[in-house]
Amino acid sequence: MTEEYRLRTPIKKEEVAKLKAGDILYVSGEIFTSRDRTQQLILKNKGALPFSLQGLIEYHAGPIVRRRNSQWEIVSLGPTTSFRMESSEYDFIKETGIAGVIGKGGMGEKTRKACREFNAFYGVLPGGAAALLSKKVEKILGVYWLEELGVPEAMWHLRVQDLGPIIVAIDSFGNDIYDSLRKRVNENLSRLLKEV
Amino acid sequence: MDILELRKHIVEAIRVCETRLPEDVKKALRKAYDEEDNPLPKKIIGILLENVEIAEKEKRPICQDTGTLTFYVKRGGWSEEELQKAINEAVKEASVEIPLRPNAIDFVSGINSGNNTGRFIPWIVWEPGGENLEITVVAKGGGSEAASSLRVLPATAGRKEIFRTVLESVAQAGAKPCPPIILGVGIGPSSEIALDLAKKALYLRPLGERHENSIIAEMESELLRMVNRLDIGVHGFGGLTALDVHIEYASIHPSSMAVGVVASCWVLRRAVLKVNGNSTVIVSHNTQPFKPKL
Repeated sequence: MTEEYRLRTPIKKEEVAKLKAGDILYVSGEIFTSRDRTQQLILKNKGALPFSLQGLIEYHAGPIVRRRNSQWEIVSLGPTTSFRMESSEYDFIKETGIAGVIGKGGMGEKTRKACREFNAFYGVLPGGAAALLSKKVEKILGVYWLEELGVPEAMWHLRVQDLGPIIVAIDSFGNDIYDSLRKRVNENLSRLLKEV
Repeated sequence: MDILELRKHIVEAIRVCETRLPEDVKKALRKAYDEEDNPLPKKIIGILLENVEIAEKEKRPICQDTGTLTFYVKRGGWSEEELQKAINEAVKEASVEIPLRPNAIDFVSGINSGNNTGRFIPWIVWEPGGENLEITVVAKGGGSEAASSLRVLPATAGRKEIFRTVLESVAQAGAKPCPPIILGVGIGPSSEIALDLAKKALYLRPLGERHENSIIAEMESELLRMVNRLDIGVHGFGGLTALDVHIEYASIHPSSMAVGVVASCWVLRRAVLKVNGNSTVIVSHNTQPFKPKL
């Protein structure tokens, strides 16, 4: 039976341990966006960031923003394909102490291993639902490496209210919805290829 | 109509493309919602539909990945040079106005132009025919490219190999291209013809319409059934994988048959700007079914 949770960051490890693949979450509090190149810069400079990453959520996303009266405003923010970050996610989870990662499309073996070893989770948001998900952002708390990385890849530090539904795809026990998906799809594919 | 006015209309066409899901796609998605019994996929499709309404009402992009813009242009009386300029300027303006995400990066320097224009981008395809100017703009996000592929097969390859190419490329992409996807399949003598036809079949023909050739039409329906039996489902949660499959073909070469597969995420984005003298119309779908001049 799947459960529904409302969590606030920083999320404690015992709260992460309750989550099971298939559960639905709504997250409030501080989170940050990050993609491939962002992760490298965060790892290199995390000591210099004015906030702690411990217990926060890394959001695989590249927003559309607009500047109004010298303030940044989120126009559109939805999840990006997570798998690009698969090769670096293990180290990222290990080094930052984040509680979880959210994105879309699924991750692989290295992220599963990190979730098991460091008690973290990976969740997915509905891809392409950016207009709706943008409304969950209450405030932009800061932006880092905007010059070097450009808008989509910069690190956006956000405060969100009830960001979700996030479907837990990998839990801290290593259960993975997308791994089951791959197996199911491959079986279906073999069957179909015999039919054509 | 002068070039400045045309530019404004192109900006509006880009806005329609990015903020309003075409009626045919909306209809297919609503049908998917009605027919879905499984609670999680149904909940997700419901959210996608709600998102479409918010985007339309607030004129916000449906997806934050506003994609790479391609323009299919029937020139009417206009010159390529003036149209190219009007389109490029319109893209820059739309990037600020709507706004769009800056998605054009020069891979040599690593620099993002910030305005969605760059080397050969936006991509403009000059189409033959048309007494009047007609510009179709389509926006394609990065994630959907996960299910695109190309295979050059021997000319003796038949239906089986075409099906295999499509099924394998959809299966390996899994949930990455944001299913339910829409597929365009192009068959032709060479790689670029196959991919060009695949992309046109995907974007320029309304969902639900079948190819005029009954054998191709039957292949479309059968492929759609098979792709759905892969059971990837909305964002990988099982169930409906594709909303439609469109096939287009050109005569092949005696020795080779290229099969191109181009996928769109559920947010298939297109808008058509028609200019007749001083009257203009912008629609989010093409009222004329795609018929190649072969």
